[in-house]
Amino acid sequence: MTAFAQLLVSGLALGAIYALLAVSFSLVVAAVGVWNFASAGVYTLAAFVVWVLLDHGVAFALACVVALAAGGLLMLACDVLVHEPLRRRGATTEIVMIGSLTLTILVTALVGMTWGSESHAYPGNLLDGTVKVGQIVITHWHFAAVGTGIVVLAVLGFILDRTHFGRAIRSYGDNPELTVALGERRARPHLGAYVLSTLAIVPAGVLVGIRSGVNPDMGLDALLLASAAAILGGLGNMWAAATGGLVLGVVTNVPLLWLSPAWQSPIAFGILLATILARPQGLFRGAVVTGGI
Amino acid sequence: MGLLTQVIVQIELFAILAISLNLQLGYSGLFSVAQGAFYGIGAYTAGITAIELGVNPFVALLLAIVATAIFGLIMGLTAVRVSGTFLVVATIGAQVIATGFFSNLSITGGSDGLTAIPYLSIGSLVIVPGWGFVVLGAAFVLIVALISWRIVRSPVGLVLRAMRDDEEATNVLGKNTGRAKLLIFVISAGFTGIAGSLLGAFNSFISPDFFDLSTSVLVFTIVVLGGTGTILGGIVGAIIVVGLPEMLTFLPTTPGGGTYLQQVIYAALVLIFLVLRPQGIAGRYESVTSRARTRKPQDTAPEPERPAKMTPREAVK
Repeated sequence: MTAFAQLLVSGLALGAIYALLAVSFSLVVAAVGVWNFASAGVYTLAAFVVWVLLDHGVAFALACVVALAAGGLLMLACDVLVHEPLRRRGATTEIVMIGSLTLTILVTALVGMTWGSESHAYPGNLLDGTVKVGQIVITHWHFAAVGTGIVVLAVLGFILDRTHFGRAIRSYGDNPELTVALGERRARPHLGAYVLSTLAIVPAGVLVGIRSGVNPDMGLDALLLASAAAILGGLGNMWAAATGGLVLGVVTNVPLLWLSPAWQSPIAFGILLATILARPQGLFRGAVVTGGI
Repeated sequence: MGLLTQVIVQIELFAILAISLNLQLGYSGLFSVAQGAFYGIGAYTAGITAIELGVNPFVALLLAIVATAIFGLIMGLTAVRVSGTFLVVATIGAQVIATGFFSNLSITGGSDGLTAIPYLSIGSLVIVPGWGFVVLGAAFVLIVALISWRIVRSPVGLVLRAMRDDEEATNVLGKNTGRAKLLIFVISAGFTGIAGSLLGAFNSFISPDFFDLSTSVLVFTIVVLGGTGTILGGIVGAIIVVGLPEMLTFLPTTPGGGTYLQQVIYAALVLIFLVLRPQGIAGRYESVTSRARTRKPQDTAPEPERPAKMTPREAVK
């Protein structure tokens, strides 16, 4: 019973991270119609930026701000340099997807070339403290993960629901031509979606960096899980994506009672495949994104 | 085992993989990023049956074809059920699951891989890694290329190309796209199985990271650079992508990811080609990468006189 509760705790923390990844991914899919695989590169870069800055003695908060800025710039560059040119050429959604994936491979390889393929841990013992609730050990990191998830989701939810900027993004996702015709300049909601997406994915990268260190391949693994979670929850709806992430985190963690951790990925993708085959609109009836959006 | 024979055999194997991907991608417009997984299924099936059951390696090769064909059928059924972007994600999922199985089952040797896979032999004639194998490999490339060529020119091939350009229209015309998809997945999977068993018989050692996502992406790179929609493109691409770095001595240690610098170069090349020359070097069909419905202005004959009132149908053309 204790083991189960313990795994539940770590599953929730993991789920919070997956939720952030899923939301980041789903935002761009809904608003721009692009499967933003390139966000994996942003995730990796942000995590590395924080590591490099911490290594040079920069304060954690400042490092995070720089990481957000760098991540945002890279995210925007992905759209301006790859996604948009491809779409202007009339590329199919799948090709943009492949282009995005290739871009993430490029960024990952550049990171690997610069800092090597080994894992690097963040200096200092951030968030190492623990709290005991009965028999269960909850680390400060667990709290941070769940807390960050809640805060980011609340902020994003507020922006998307209560600000003109956010509503323009949602409207743009629904009907780009109408949104532009109604007076909204195309660049703002289009790029704005990417910016919001960065706000979700950079904290996720930093949290994982604190917990497991950074390595060039971290982005790709996270990315695949992000898409799995987003599809599981249902595309096009931020809360659905977040729930998908949470569910995925818990469901892949609890089986550790019986299986070795190496099976976590296959389980997650088994769920993904089952979802795609049986219920592509996800748990919460998101938009079914077919080729040719 | 000379370095040159090693390089040539790798080119041959990747040529087979590229041709099989081109059948799915270039001719049928089906995006699958699971080549690595099928490659592995073929290799492990051949290797395991040869080692554990002691069958003749050629029989193992046939078993590998059957095994990959079965999984190809499953993938094909998925392709019938979901389309486009979901299919890509599904194939990525299948790829990762496959890697998970390769790395964690004891029968596959886990992450240490499978060793001591026997060489191909006919009776007492053993085909050792060397020029003999190069010839054998070339023979298989030719067989695969010929079969693909026949398929493409067959009625099924026409259905597939029509499907690539406009699936709905093809269905409306009464052509069974579902059956065509299944067929092409089964066949291209079978080809991958051939390549897989050849790899095992040549290298006598296989490991899960020969068959992971980076391998799938590498095959994709070969097809994009070499040429979509042609069989020659697969061969050209394999020569360039596999052969060139070897000659420039950026030796990859595993037939898959290669060094980071290589990845940077390949990724950059793929992006440049996708944007500037999507049909690749030797390819012909641009419509794989761009919307077929995009009509160039010169395609529509100029109307001398337009009637003053447009019917609703003309208005939405």
